[in-house]
Amino acid sequence: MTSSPLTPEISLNPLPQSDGSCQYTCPTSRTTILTSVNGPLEVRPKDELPNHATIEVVVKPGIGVAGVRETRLSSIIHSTLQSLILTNHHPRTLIQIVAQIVQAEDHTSLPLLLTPLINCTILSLLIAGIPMRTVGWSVHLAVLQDGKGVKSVEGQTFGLGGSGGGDEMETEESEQLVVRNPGSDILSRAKSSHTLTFSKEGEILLIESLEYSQGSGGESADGQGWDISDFVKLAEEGKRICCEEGVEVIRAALAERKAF
Amino acid sequence: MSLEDTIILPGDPLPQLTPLISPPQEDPAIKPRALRLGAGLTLSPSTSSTPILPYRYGTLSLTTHTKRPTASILSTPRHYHPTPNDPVLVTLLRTTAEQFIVQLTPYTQPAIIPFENYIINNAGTTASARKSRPNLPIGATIYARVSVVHKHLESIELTVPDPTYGEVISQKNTSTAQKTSKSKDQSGTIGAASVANRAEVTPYILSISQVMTRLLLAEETHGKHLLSAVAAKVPFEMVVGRNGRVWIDAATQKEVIKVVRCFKEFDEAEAWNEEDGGVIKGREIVGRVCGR
Repeated sequence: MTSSPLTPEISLNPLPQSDGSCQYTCPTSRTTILTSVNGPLEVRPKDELPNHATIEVVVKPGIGVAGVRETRLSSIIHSTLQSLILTNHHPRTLIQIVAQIVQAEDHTSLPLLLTPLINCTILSLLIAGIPMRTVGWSVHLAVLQDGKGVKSVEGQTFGLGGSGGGDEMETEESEQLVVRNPGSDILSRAKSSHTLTFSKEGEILLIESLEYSQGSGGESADGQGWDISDFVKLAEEGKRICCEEGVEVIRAALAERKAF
Repeated sequence: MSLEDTIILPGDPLPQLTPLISPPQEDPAIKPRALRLGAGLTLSPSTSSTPILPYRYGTLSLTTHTKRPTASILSTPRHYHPTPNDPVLVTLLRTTAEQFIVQLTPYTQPAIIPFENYIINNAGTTASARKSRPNLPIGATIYARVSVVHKHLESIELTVPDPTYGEVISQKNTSTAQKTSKSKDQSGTIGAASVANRAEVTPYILSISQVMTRLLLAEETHGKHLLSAVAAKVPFEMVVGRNGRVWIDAATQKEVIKVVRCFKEFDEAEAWNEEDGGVIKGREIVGRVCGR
């Protein structure tokens, strides 16, 4: 597979002692995450579930000590993975996931961190051989009121005009621009931001949508900063990215490894 | 891309299995055979094309020529998942009234060897009687076989099926121990010095990844180049447990460490992922560690 400017950098098993680990660098925002998965391990009696494995997600911040933000991130990741991992295969055990934020443009921004965290965790779960129902992929999409002066990589942006594939920078004035995996400079101008996770089969696993009042938008019928028809179009595109490109990235990353 | 090379992700449909599950009915000579599901595959009614769901990534391996066709996903995660009949190297944690409690892998529930599964001689005497029970020190290394694995069971049960299993002791140590008693009479011989050195050699237990374990166990195929390269430099003895532990013994402590370092560096470099299967990398490591 030729590496396009939108293919993330993935290094598998950088940690020699963990059951499965992965370092993931987002191609455009350069957010770098390192995750390690261990399991099935012996579980603390307090957390033991008689018919299921306990999933523990720990997010370690790049700066400072873990706080509410990290707890929030780990609870989102936990609920996303809960539907992917076949926990009934290893009852009364612990599957431990530790994610370390290595590098980020903005360590305080949840949407910038969430997509790399989820993608990196899913890759390390695969490497660790944790039983999974299917695989998923996450994408972060930011909606901008206009695309004036937005510096982006080819293929990173598309319009919501309906014709699709609006790769050209000369989009119409009135058209909203969607940027995929934006950096903090683009996100600061965004009207709304959507983190979407889809499984390989196209089931939606996670929607984390945020409205930004500081962006130039904020006017819509439902007062939420985005239009529902726009959102449907956006989700459609997100699904295509996750189910086609995302799964292709996973396959390409794993294909280099030999199995005996 | 051939069948063997295609990576299967969890949840992928497996159309390759359809002819095995429902064979064409035209030929009455073909009797429907039960398909056995190996590692990495489970039954799931909700999958699209076949009711079989792969739950790990890997390559599909199919055995169709045998009486019972088997399908499994070939993949080697680092974590050891015990399966019956695996030879394993375990450490004795404690002894209770009915069983040895042993550690299979770190951070997991301990496994057990019931005394009635511990066979000490060829006559089939078990260790159940107090008289016949081997007096194993805590921390002893036992070579055993996995007998019962069930996810809902409290712990994994192991057996010591015959006297070739059991506590792993250096063969040279025992033979030289006899020699030591002999050499007491003929003191001052050269043999005594080497025997004295020998007593100081401690065998090493190396923890390695699952792929490396497979490599070392397949000594005629995948592991041949590495094992023969090491053995050409240093003669050594090893016992490989599928749980990722290798017991290594050699004539001197230096040689033990050399062998350990060769295996460890090969494992850490994940050299088998290279195009030639790590032949060149293996030679390079052996050359660096053991000298040219």
